[in-house]
Amino acid sequence: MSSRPGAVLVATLVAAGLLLRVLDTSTKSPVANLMLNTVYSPFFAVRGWAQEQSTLRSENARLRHLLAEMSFKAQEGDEYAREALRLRSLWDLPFGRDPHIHIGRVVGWDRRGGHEEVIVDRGLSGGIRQYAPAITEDGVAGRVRVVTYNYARVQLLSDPGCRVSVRSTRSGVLGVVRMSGSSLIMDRVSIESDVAPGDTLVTAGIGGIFPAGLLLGFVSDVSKPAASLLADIDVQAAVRLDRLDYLFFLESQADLPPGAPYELETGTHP
Amino acid sequence: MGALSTFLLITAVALAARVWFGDLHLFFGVRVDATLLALTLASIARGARFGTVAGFVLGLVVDAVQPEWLGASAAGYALVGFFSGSFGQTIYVDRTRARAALVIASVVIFDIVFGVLTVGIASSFFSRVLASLGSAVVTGGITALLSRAWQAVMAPQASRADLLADE
Repeated sequence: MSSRPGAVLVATLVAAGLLLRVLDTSTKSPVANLMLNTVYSPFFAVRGWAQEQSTLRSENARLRHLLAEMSFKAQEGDEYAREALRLRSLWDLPFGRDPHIHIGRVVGWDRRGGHEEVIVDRGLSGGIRQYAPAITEDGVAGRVRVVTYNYARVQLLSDPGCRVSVRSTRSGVLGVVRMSGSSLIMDRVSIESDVAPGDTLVTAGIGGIFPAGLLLGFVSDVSKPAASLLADIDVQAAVRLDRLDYLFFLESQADLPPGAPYELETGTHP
Repeated sequence: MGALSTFLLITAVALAARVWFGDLHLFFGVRVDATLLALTLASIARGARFGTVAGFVLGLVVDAVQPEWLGASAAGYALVGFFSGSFGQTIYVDRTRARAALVIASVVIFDIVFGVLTVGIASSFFSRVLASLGSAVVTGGITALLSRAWQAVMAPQASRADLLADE
């Protein structure tokens, strides 16, 4: 089994162990504390560091989650703020306090057959009538072409069939805005008329659909060919027609303020 | 690996196991004593004298956590180191089963010594015996697994021969 010195050694150490065991705890405590503070200390430090890392990781994950949640809420808040601004600017329109304004959300686009139309999620049930002017806080967007009980199709200014009578706020010159090719133009304006780039165009109120004074756009370019009686006037729409999300609908002509000179709009209604 | 390196290694293993996992209690008092396992395997490799001294010092370090027991684990581990070192030097313990049996015996020896020296501190005699036997079997099983894994990783050829020999 083992040599005699080995047996003596183990006997001695076991005896030493027994002796230590029977000593009073108060005598042993300083030795134990010394060992704890020296031998164990690095291991406790490593464990503490690892636990701290683990805590920090979980805290980091929690904060990231919270940040994502807050970021989403902030975006949501921004969207609400933008919507509030839109509604406020609509409220500031001349007829903004008229309770007969209906709001619809754009839920679809239809560009088939050369048309430029959007579909909104409100129809007759939401108070929207055929030919009702569709506007945004920036100005005129179009008019309702077809309406069903729950949906409405809005013919945009960019639709070739849409025509709107306008007036220059600076000179009072009248004309008709319509699409020509890929550009919005102001038609039926004599070359002798006072129209210049930058002029603001508002609805003239003589078409029977749009009330007078709604911002439609701005003159972006004017050219007067020598061989023609009419000027070529390019118009920049005030509304970004490719970024519509909500549209406001005015009551149709029967509900418009009395006294204004209404005439039938010269548009086509396929 | 020298004696000092071996001692430092098993001390580090024992301390890390104590600090991180405590006594690794599994169920019904059955536990895995990483200190004893490391000591036994090191003693088999290094001999009885190394096992005795290393066991005593390791025992003191382990007992430092609970000063009233100081000396109990030192005596128990010294005996275990002596026992496993002696058998490791005198009998053939390369086989997995022999190593596991030696670890099982070491656990029982330690629990007997520790139990005698800490009478009245822990639970009843019967439950301590059951817990000790359970701990011995579990620790022996772990030894067998470690041994086989070691053979498979470090000496695949020898491992296959050992496995065949074990069969």
